[in-house]
Amino acid sequence: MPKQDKGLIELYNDDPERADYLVFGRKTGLDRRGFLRGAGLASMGAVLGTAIPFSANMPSGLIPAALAESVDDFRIESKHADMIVHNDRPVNVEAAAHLLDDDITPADKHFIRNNGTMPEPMSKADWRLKIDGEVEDELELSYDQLKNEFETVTLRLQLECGGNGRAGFNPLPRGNPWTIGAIGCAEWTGVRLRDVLRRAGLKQSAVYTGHYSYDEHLSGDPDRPAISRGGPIDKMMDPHTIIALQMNGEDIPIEHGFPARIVAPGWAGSVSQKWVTRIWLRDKEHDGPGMTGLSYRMPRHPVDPGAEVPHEDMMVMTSMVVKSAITNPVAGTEVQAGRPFEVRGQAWAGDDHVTAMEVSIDYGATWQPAELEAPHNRFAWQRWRANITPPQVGYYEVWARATDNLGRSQPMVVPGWNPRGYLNNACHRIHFTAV
Amino acid sequence: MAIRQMLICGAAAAALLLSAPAMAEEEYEFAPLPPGEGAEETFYNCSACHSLQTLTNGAYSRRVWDEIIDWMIEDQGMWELDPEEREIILNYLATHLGEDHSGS
Repeated sequence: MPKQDKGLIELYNDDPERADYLVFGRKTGLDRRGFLRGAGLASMGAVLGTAIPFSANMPSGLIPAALAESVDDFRIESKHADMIVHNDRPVNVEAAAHLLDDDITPADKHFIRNNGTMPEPMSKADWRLKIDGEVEDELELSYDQLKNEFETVTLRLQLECGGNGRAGFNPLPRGNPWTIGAIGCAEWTGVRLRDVLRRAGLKQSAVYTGHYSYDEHLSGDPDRPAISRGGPIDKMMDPHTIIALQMNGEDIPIEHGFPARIVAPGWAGSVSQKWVTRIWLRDKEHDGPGMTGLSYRMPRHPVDPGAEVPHEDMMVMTSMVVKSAITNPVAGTEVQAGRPFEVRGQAWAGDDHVTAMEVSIDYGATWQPAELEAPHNRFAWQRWRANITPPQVGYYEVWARATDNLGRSQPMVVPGWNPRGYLNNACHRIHFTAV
Repeated sequence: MAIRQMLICGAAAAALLLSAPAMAEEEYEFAPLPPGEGAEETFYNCSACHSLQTLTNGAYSRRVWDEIIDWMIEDQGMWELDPEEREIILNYLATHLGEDHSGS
């Protein structure tokens, strides 16, 4: 087929209401009731079934959970239909827990957190990365220079949205109501950021980075970055912080940052700027959009749920915290009473690693240890598995709890409330029925 | 450009053929916002830049909605609202997407 990649995203960027109408037969906005009506669904299926290649460009299965749940046989070709869409402008999509069962997260099951528009891909030939600020020699590197002039590394790196789990906080803080699936561990290939920074020559005064990219602010204002965060120089010089050029052995899909992005594993995903074009070395904590106020910041001391916290009492988040997900079986599974079955998942701990994993099927009264694998490399998540035997018929829940190398365990209930709802690492739980 | 127009025409043709029954059922004109006084002002001021799911995902107090409007205007490039319109929107948000709203 001829070039067919100017589909849904462009349509939505140009005029979302019109795109909604054109594509799904919805009059305005995002009416889920409209979505579920037979005709709207039929038109969507039929539109996808024709030669119009929306599936080729649609980021990672943009199907609302309600639709995925109600229509078992509905799929977008080559994308996973169980991804949960929180928003389509900006695009914010998380994985249902059972989609995180792969040791290496495929692109179509990796969460997407955009702040601005989904950009039109910039060609590798046109793309440049600028390194400036507190450096001896300003650099402007092409894609080929990065690829050929620096040592290439391939690492499995976990990336988690700072707000993963936000939906559990009460009162609900501002932001996407992520549940458990704004986490992924893909295999990233690229060059160490520290090698690039060393080539530029860091001045003593370089203490922080500020990242910029070619996506646009939703308001369309070209002078306003959609987001511009960064990290302290120690984190950015860690040999696992890379400028990624490939995801799972292929060009990075546009929704994950083509042609190049930062991957600073273990920290809020927003440090890992997608579509990166500039790394500005700063002589102080970066103050771009997303660094100040309440954004990606935690209170310096515990606060009451719902408290209004003065900005000066907030500090920038650092590492994410110990956490785990149950990725198999799917919640709601039916099993045989009295027979063992395998429960398994992934566990991770920001900059640290997981040293113990336990599961409970009696609401935390007793725990049994799970088998826990070492990470494939530092900053990769860790597979765990346990055999569980429900003693009799009935409804059960599996709870899973990870402990990190510093002895910190996941809390059973939601941890400290904070104004923007970061770092909820409460135990994940799923239900099953024994028959 | 030509490709894009062809695509849009193709999509329009398919959607128009198939969406006629859907159009027969009248949907709330400011969906997905819940019906209420101020829905129209809210719809047009917010959907210019972002989807309305950004709103219906929320369940916030009046104070938080007020802060969000400030943030939109001060940090996110939203136009200034005249005080009367701002009050209408804030009342709408606090009433229909308040803390007891169950999310979308």
